[in-house]
Amino acid sequence: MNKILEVTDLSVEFKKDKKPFFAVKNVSFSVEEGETIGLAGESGCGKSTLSRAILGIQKKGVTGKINHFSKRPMMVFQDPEGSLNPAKTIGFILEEPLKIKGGMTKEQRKAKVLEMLKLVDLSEDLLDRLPSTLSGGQCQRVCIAAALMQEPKLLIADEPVSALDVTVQSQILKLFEKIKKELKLSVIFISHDLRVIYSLCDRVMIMKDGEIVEQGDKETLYFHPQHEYTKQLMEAAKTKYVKKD
Amino acid sequence: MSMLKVEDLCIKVHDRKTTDTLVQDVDFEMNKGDIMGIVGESGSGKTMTALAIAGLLSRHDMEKSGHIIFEGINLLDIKRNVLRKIQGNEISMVFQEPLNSLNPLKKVGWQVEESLRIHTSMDKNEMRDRAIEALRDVELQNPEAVYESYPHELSGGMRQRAMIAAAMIIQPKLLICDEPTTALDVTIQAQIVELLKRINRERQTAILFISHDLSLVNTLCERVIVMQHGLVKESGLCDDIFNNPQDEYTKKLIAAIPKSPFGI
Amino acid sequence: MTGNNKVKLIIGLVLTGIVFLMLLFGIFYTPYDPMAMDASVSKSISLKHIMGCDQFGRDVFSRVLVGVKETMIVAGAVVLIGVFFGTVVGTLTGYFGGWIDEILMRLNDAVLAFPSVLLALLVIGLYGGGRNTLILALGIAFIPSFARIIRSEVLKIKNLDYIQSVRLFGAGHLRIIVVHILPNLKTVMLSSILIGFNNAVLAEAGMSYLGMGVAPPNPSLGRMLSEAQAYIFTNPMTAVFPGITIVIMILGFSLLSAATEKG
Repeated sequence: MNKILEVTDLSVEFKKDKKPFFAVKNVSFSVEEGETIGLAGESGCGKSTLSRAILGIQKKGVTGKINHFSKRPMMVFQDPEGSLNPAKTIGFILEEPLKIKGGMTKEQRKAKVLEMLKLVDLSEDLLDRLPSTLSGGQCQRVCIAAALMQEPKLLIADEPVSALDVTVQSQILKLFEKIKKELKLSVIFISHDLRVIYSLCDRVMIMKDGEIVEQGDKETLYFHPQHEYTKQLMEAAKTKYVKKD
Repeated sequence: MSMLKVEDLCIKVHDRKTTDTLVQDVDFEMNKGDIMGIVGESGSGKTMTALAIAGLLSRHDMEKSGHIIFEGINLLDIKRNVLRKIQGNEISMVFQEPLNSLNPLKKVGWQVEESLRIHTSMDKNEMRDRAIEALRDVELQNPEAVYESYPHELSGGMRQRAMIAAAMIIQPKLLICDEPTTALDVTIQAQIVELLKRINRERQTAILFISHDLSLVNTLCERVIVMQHGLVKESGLCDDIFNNPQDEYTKKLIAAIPKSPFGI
Repeated sequence: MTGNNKVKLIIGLVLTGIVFLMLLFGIFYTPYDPMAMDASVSKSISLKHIMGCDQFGRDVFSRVLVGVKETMIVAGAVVLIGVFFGTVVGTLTGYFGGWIDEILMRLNDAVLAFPSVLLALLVIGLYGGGRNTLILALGIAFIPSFARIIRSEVLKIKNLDYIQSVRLFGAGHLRIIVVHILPNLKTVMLSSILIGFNNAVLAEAGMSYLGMGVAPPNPSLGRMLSEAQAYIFTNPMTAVFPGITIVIMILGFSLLSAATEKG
């Protein structure tokens, strides 16, 4: 298997009230081709900062090594409506990554947009519409299509289904399954929902206070957690979802 | 006679020419100590139903029909001051976002005492004692310190506990919880669910639990109502509905629960 | 759009419509030469002079028509300068932040802290009076407020997810600003242009009233008011009609901006 991403000793330091504070602390992991890694943790644990550092949006205070073995990774955000420019049509939004990349004729771009629309199960009628006229699920599909336009090898999804209704959520998760398989895509899937991560991912990392406290194969991690915090998380999920009499 | 009986509840909003029906023909009953869930996605009318029972819907721009009978009184057509008394003494509500439901400028203790201040004539010390007791009862460590702190000094879980304390201080018969765990972290969610269970068991407080999460409702409630587009799709015992759903939409909801190693 | 806003929009459109009609009319045709004096004519309102005549026997209606034109040219040019440079400054400071932001916004604050009338007086004192100086002076005075509005909007937009994702696609700063941020400033720009236009009309009237701005004998609404002041009791119509015209203008544009604000 080929490595897509290797992160070694990554730390992100913020200054908070003049005191240094590590949002991400000594994180090391790697992502292989076609693999889906789940990143779980509670709010404020540094999940989002970690992904921003990997993407290169966060540059300040970053130390350690991030090795990309592919073109730039792409991102899918939590709030589907907020990640689409309200002033632009869906067609424009989808074509934009190709225009920026360059080297394609208008017809080629159009063909690529239609191909992607088909992949994410959206109809061509949407091309002339504005994001505000789409449902949350449709918006998230557009975001996924736009992120895939430049054919990245790695996709980082930051809580992509948390803002969606339950039934829509399961459709988007199915879409992730599909694109993963068809495009041999590696995905870092960030979520606070341990059930979603279990259903989609191969490996799981548990993050707390900026550190990855445990990582490993999902079956091992879910059924034989080693770290105290992982145990606590699993216990909480059980209380929440398993009926006791 | 049941404690709460909702009959043919309809809520309509008139926006100039068009009429939107938010809730249509909702029927259910609750008894003392019952714990019931209302499940639905956004736009299902679950929150509207809860707000109508709590008497928090505005009276002007909404048309409400049907009956909400609480201990023999129809909440939809009583006078405002009577409704206020019932609201304070018998029905309380906990909301989704604990940061928004607490006043950032007032100390937590003051806010927990608020309904005592309105509905009783206790003196300061008595109220303080009751408030600290209520804070202790929701398993907050060091309730005296929490009493003296401001909302922003507490974590999300602590704020939600304080909200529950504020709702429970007058010992209501019915506690309405509108997605009380959605904004919280997983470990905290589990604790809040346990706390609600305990309150229900020990105090015999009836709990109406509104949520989008069917499996969460299943762990907490005995009975459940499934709503979609303002209509009740299915209602009954959680076990029955989970094991043998009749309605198409319920089946879809159950199928949408992510496969997980935690049972359902 | 709510019903209330619709009413505002309709009344606003009617009032600004009247103003634009007067403007068009004034460009192509005036009943009399607005500068021609005729001492023999009666100063009161008549069929020949529907707004009466001023102390020199000039037809007030003709002068109001031309005055509207003068006022609109000055106000339009002032807003244009303000919006253009305000947008440039606001976008640069909001988007890039850092030292560009520090320098430009301090400069901005300095101009903002300085009363605009004083600033205009200063410029006019340096370069002499007249329409062009007035436009320049008021234009500069109008830049900071536009810059502030645009800057805060850009600050808000640049951190939204859709800008982040375009950045991930590899788009350059210029493309992000022009293609992705500017179109989203439309609504905020429209309402601030309308409000700014109002302020410019008032400022122009004020400056002309003080005797700076359009040089006599050319009419402008503000100058007409100022000239009519001495005759307010003997010949009030010369003050009333320019005054009403200013009110119609201001009211029309404020109603329009109020209607577009919450769209």
